[in-house]
Amino acid sequence: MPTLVRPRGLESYFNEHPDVEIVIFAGKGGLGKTTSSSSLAWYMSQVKKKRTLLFSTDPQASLSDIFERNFYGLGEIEVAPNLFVVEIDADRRVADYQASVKQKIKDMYGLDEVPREIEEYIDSTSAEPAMYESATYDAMAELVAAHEYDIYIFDMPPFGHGVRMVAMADILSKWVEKITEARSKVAEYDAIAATLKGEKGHEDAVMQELIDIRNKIKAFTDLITDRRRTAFFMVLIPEKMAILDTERALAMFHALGMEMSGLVVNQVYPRELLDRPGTSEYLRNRS
Amino acid sequence: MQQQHLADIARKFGDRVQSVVPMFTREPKGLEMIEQASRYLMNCEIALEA
Repeated sequence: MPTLVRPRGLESYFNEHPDVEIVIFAGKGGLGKTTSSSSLAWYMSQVKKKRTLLFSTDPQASLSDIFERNFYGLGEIEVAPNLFVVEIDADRRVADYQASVKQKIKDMYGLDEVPREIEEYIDSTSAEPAMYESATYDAMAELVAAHEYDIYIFDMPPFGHGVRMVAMADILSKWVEKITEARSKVAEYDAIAATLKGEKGHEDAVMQELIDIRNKIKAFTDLITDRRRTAFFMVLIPEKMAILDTERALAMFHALGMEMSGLVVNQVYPRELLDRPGTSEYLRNRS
Repeated sequence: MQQQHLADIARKFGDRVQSVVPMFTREPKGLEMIEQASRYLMNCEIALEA
């Protein structure tokens, strides 16, 4: 006798977890992540009447595709009462960030131009996937920090199952902490030297910048690792690769001390199709 | 074919599966289709045999 697994649907999950305010849909592209996140956003905004923000950074603009209108890089757009959609242009955010770093270097060191090698280095970082990811998390953190919505639903781009975000945030946080330590020593010596020279100590702008980055990362990771407020769902389809991928993602979650809230299996042909006389051979083989 | 993988999913992931959504006859597009898809996601009606 086969055992039956009866999934209860996401409604039960959210009834049992009423404090969830961030929902992250992870998984590879093309498995129905955008459909799932849009469906949940519809339910939250129309049925639960929550002010909902649906977010994506997909360069293929899949939310634009499913809602049949262009959102890409246009900010938060209301598509139905309480339902807002935002599709972030991550490339533009990376470019803006690079420009702001250059400006900060000029301001801090009183330069008219950023030295050529440094400028080349900053420009070369656009090719780094980590820059794209970091721009995505930054945009997510910024929106959540603004507290303008009751619930935030993130349709994650297909890198690292959205799990790497947590690992990366942890590494970044540790790195910034180390640098902050080193810089605070330098600041102490600086202050002593200034006193000896009879000058007034000056504020360390680089240090302040690092502390700001660390605080931002920490606030965001604290939030997304808070099981009461954040839910992670992974979307998969009944195919071998997707199953293997899901196993890997679950192992990664476990290694990071996190828990996957649930799985959504998509693109399922109902079993009855097999028994229905009119079903084509193609569908019969697929189901 | 899918039935084997679904059984595999049920065996490997069991209660972690929160919802099973059917294949739609065409890709969901537009508010009306999203509303329809949302019903399947929120109230799952498909069971999996392990």
